[in-house]
Amino acid sequence: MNIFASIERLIDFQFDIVKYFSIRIEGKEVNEFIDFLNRMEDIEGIEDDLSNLLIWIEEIGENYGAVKNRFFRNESIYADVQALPPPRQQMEIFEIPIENLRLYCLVANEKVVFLFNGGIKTADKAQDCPKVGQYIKQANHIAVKIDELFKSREIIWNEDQSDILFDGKLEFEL
Amino acid sequence: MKKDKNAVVARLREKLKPENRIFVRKNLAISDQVEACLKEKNWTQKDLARALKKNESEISKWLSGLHNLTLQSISKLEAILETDIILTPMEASEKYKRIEYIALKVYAKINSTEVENQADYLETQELIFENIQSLAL
Repeated sequence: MNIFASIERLIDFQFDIVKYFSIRIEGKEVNEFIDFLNRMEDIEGIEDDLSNLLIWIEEIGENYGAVKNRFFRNESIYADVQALPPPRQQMEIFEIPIENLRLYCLVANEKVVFLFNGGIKTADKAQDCPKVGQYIKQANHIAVKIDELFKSREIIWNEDQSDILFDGKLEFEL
Repeated sequence: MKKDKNAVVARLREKLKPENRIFVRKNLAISDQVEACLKEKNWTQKDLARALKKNESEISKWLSGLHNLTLQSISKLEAILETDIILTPMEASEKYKRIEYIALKVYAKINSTEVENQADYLETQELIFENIQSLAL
């Protein structure tokens, strides 16, 4: 069965420097980032980590910009994907590590970031982890799809590349 | 009662404690300071990792702005980078009061875009040093 997804602007996470987005999978009540927050919300022992994550997203958005390889850790798992022609940076998946909590994202540039899903990492390698393995794979897969949307110009950059433009009804197959 | 999934951001933001914000802000400021020190030394994170005998991914975690850096780790960074990463207000006041700030006013012809003769040009410049002050903090 074909599954479709759409891009959502995270209204509560639009800052002077960084604009955050997520994707919503067809049939799901909320987008992936909001799903992540809902799943993590009531887990005991990670309250501070979750709070710090939210503040960090705000601070990066307001004051620093999404500087890859500085604030974000590269977690791309598709070696062949990384070898594709430019814009290569749109293909790389990054993780935001907060102790054992992991959130996966796509840093399109320093001003546009897609936040996906994540969880509490319990294995050394994220791909092997029963809690976050599926999300890192999902993030890598979605990154490829989003890159295709950039290439087909269904998502385009605004003039100064500080934001992206796309049809609100845009859907893509996962 | 079933929670409104879309209201999760508001619920979480309501729970944010001031100390969380201070933690993240200071952490990012430390990361920024370390980056500035690395730039000054012409070092990469890899160089820093080598100097600290750590692996690169650990250093990247340290500098993510979310890692709970211990004072011991910060001290190691300061020792390797041979500079302060954090200063208390009292230390900062002591350190920076020794710096002298000089106010300098420069008067020059701003409408002239061409200089035919360097000597003529210099003659037309009027440099006045005024109010040279030492502003001790």
